[in-house]
Amino acid sequence: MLPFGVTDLEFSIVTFISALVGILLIIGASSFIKPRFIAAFAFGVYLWYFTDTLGDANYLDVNQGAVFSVELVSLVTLFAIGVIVFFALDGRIFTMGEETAKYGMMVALLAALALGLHGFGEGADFGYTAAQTPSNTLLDAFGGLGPSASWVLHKMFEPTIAAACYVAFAGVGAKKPVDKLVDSLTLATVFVIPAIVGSIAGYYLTFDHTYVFALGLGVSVYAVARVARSMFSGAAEASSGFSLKMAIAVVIGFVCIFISALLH
Amino acid sequence: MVILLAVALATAAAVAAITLPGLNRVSSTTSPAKLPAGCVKPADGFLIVASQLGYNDSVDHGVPQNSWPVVDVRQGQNVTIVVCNADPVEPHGFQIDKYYDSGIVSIAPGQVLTVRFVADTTGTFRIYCNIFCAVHWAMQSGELVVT
Repeated sequence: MLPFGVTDLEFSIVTFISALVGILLIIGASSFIKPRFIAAFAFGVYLWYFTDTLGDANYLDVNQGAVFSVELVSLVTLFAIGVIVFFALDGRIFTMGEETAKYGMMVALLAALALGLHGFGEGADFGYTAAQTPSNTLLDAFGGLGPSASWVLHKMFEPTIAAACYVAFAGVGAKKPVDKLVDSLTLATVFVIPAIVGSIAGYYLTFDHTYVFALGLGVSVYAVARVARSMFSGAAEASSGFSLKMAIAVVIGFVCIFISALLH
Repeated sequence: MVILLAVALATAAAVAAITLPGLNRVSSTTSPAKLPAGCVKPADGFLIVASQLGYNDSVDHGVPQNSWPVVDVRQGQNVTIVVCNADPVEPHGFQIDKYYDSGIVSIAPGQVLTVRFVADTTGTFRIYCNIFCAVHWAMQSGELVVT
């Protein structure tokens, strides 16, 4: 068993810095890469994100077959609720006005929260393992350098989807560097808070984390819907070369987070 | 209104999800995993228990440097392996190269899986978890040895 205080502090700091770096990289890249290609990269990241989170949600119990157990119905219901809630929130926000820079930041914040919610389950996995492990060090408890590096990298890549929303909708080109930094810190905080709360819950409470991932999977659909929209906004550049670049960006995003998963 | 209803439903479902498997305080020391119902070693077969300590406590057996657990069988033998997920919080996977490697199996907390096959090919085949979990690294070093 690892002590809670130091362990959770290390976990929180590592997770937050990883997320912040990922967000800053994307916002920095937006200076010389068009938003639609950044969105394509984020879409590629999401493809793996969905697969990974679906596994954590135990494939919504589809492996059990058509038994319609309480567990299966609960998992599917939570997924559906997740999808509905965030689209409904989005609808509430954008009935207030056009997608100006002001409301664009709200899209990015919603996306960060949507992506971060599955982190509650991951944090709970972390907390539970920390409470149960016979290891004396954090690194040993989680399998050494490889799996730890995997955590850092995947927490760096996941919020790039929210950062892509920020680039696409928040009028990033007109913002001062200090404003971008403040927005990045805000996005990283929103993304990481569920994981930190989850790590505390997982350390002290025993509950089936599968349901949390089902809800997290559902809410994340909002983020990818927003990203996908910005990939195809404006048709002026539609050409075979343009489409190829888009496809390459998708593949790069997917491969980046896939490689981080290989280390797990 | 729709949002409020959805949030209320989500909250209710989440509470149900938490209370369904049981809400217990984690003991202050590492304790043996509680076995789910039906988690019994079959006659002439093998029992593999997945928990936060890996497969059959593999973290205590030097994985990933050492192979653990190791299932020894004879060529032509009918093999039965009962795999239990005694971990109350996470699903775990179970695969055996060549013999049970469709890649679609995951075992929810408290569930039991029975794997049957005929060991028709000699060799050493890896037993591993195929879905990510907090102790995924500790579930990559099992072996099926067919002689």
